[in-house]
Amino acid sequence: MTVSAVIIALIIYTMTMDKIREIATLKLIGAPDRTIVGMIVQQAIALGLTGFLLGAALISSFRTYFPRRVVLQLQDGLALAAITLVVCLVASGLGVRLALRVDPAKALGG
Amino acid sequence: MPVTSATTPLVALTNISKHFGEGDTRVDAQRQVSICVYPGEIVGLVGPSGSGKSTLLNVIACILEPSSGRMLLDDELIYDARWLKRDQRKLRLDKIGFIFQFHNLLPFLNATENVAMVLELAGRTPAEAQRRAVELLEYLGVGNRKNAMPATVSGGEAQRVAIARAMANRPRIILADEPTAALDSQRAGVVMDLMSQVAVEQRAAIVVVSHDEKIFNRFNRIFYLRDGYLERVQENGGST
Ligand SMILES: Nc1ncnc2c1ncn2[C@@H]1O[C@H](COP(=O)(O)OP(=O)(O)OP(=O)(O)O)[C@@H](O)[C@H]1O
Ligand SMILES: [Mg+2]
Repeated sequence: MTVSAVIIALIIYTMTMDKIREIATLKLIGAPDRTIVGMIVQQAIALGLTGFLLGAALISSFRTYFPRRVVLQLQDGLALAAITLVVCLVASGLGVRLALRVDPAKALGG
Repeated sequence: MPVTSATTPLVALTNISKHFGEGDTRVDAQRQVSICVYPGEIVGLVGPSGSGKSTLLNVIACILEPSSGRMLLDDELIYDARWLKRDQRKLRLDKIGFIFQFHNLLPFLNATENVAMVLELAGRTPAEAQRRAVELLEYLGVGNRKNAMPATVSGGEAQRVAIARAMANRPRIILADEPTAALDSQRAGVVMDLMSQVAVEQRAAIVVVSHDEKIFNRFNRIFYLRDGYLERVQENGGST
């Protein structure tokens, strides 16, 4: 779980790094921090959701081969989804911190 | 367009100074610069590298705090030895439009959404924002690209979308950073024509930082900076 949180945090951090110019532009044209944070958190959730659905799809396709061993209850699935969501939100903190520090002057050339 | 002294300037800087560092490392990027820009005017900020053009533009954009001086934007005192406005982003959203060297459109939004976004940030409903965004794109001659993603339009078209975004909230002040540097001279001409049109029709003051001598004749006035000083002001009378 820690490992996956770190990986998600790194992915979101890298995605945020790639978007520094856009973030600077948003700040320059007057978007409030909550808009920018919202975008990052949205990305994080999308990422988590994709990962979760991919995982769920994999598990259900393998279930036919191991019918007795992997019996995933609906409740377990929901719990896992919730955990994934929390991990993503926590992990996006790093990206948010970076985004809040971006200097709007970065949007303008040298 | 005759600029009479009776008109109130939209940008008024008085003795703006800005230095970076202290002692041996001190750099005076702005020394007692005073300039005014009036409604309907498009002015150039030019000078050699390191002369302080970006510093001045950043001060006007309220993203760099001067060391001293006074600044009025749209008849409001914004800076007088310290910032007098708390929320400078809201101030920019309402009063200042920006045009960049590269359009700086958000790559994950289409042309209309890019323009509509700043309208929604300023409090318009999504439907209103959408309607005005499309109108603006049509006004700038890129109505046919309204659903296009930034990556799929040409440099000149992207710059027009960016101008639409800059004027969306009807700012009285538009700041442009090398707006034609990435365009060929024909497209640069079109972009400058549009900017002049916006200045006149919206009664806006447009400040352009540029190295591009081909467009210098489009400015009503040119402020020449050197070593942080305002060296001279050239009037291009009668060009509008
Ligand atoms: N953040 C900073 N810290 C220290 N010095 C700075 C900083 N920003 C600018 N300067 C210095 O201030 C002076 C003016 O810089 P500025 O970027 O305004 O020049 P410019 O006219 O925009 O140049 P260019 O045409 O190269 O973009 C330069 O000597 C520059 O090195
Ligand atoms: Mg510069």
